[in-house]
Amino acid sequence: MNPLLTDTLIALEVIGILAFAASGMVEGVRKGVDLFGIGLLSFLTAFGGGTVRDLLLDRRPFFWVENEFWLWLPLVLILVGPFILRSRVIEITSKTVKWPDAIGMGAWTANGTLIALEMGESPLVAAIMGVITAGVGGIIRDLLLNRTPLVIIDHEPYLLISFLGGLLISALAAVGISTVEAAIVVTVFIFVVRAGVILAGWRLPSIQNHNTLPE
Amino acid sequence: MTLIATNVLFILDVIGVLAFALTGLVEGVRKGADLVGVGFLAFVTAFGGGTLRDLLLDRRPFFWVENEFWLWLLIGIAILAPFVIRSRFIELTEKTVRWPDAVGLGAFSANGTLIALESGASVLVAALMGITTAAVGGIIRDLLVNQVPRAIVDHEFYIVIGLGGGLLISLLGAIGISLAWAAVVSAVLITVIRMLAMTFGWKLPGFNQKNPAS
Repeated sequence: MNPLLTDTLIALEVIGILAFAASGMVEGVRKGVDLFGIGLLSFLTAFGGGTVRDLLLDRRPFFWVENEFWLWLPLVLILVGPFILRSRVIEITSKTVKWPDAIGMGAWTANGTLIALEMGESPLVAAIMGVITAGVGGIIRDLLLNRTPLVIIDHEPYLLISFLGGLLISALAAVGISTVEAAIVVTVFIFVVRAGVILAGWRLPSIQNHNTLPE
Repeated sequence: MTLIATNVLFILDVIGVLAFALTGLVEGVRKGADLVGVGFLAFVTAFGGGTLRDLLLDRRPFFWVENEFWLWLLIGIAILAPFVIRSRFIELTEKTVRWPDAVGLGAFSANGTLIALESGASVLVAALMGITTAAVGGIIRDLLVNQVPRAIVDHEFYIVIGLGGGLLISLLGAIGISLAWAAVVSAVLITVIRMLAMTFGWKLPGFNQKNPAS
């Protein structure tokens, strides 16, 4: 693996960890979880997806064992974040969670897809690994808060954007663009599309059947 | 592994994946998931159990990585399903989930047990791998739609049957029947018994306490 690629992967990991830890923290504060609960939520959100990816790809040591420093990143956030969020000036809405989440999602998708591609997986499998890296953390966060994971139920394109972003990396690589540049393009692409979703309220069609249970 | 065992494993895989994918789809639509969410549920339900089994047995590559055909099949199903399921003529009741689930239970229990036996696991471990393969997909599905897993609460012989079927394979193998045929017999038996249990309401005793939670 060339050094530039390693650096890119590391940069994406740092962005992804911080962004997802922030989303876990904000969600914990919103739900009135205690300080340790907030810590657990942000750790699992930040490290869950990447760990499952490493398990599936049989990649050891886990990325947070290899770079133990990663474990300190959310810790700082947890110690400082809740006190900032306590301020009356900041209003935490469900949208507040979505912005850091959108940043982390782009970074993790690119990171997961790139790692899978480097390990020789096919474009389709690599894109799925990207989706898993980006999606599983948030799913665990939602399950812990006892609600149906937002990615499944909220009708905003999430997994789809991540999946398409992952395929885009392979497509860009196929036309001769370096994987590093492709990863950066895709991270930005995913963030921009996701920002569009949040701001403009784009929705996926649902499959309504007359038997669909009321909410 | 004999050729016939390979073929039996493949057929059980096809049946299990299709059956569980169907339950994931139906459950997603029932709970009002979006288009992609429904596809995701189908994917996780179909591959969750087998993937955990492969992780536990340290078996690589996963069957859906080895045969990318599976992924395309599920993507195809997820794209086509909405058109079928929207139809007024299809009733999506609890039964629509539980009947295909029974078929998947039989196929994946037998498949998982056979794979574990072939890779040298003991009789009990193999049966546990079988039930892991069969039950975990459905458990993840139920967790994701925020429901207590049916495998735990429905009282109608779910895990017990899967486990019994897995042990049966080893038993039949011990009296000289080839494992592949034992797996077929066991898959059919599991599915049939589960369906009978659901039809006639055979229940396992619950641990009723004076003040249960709900």
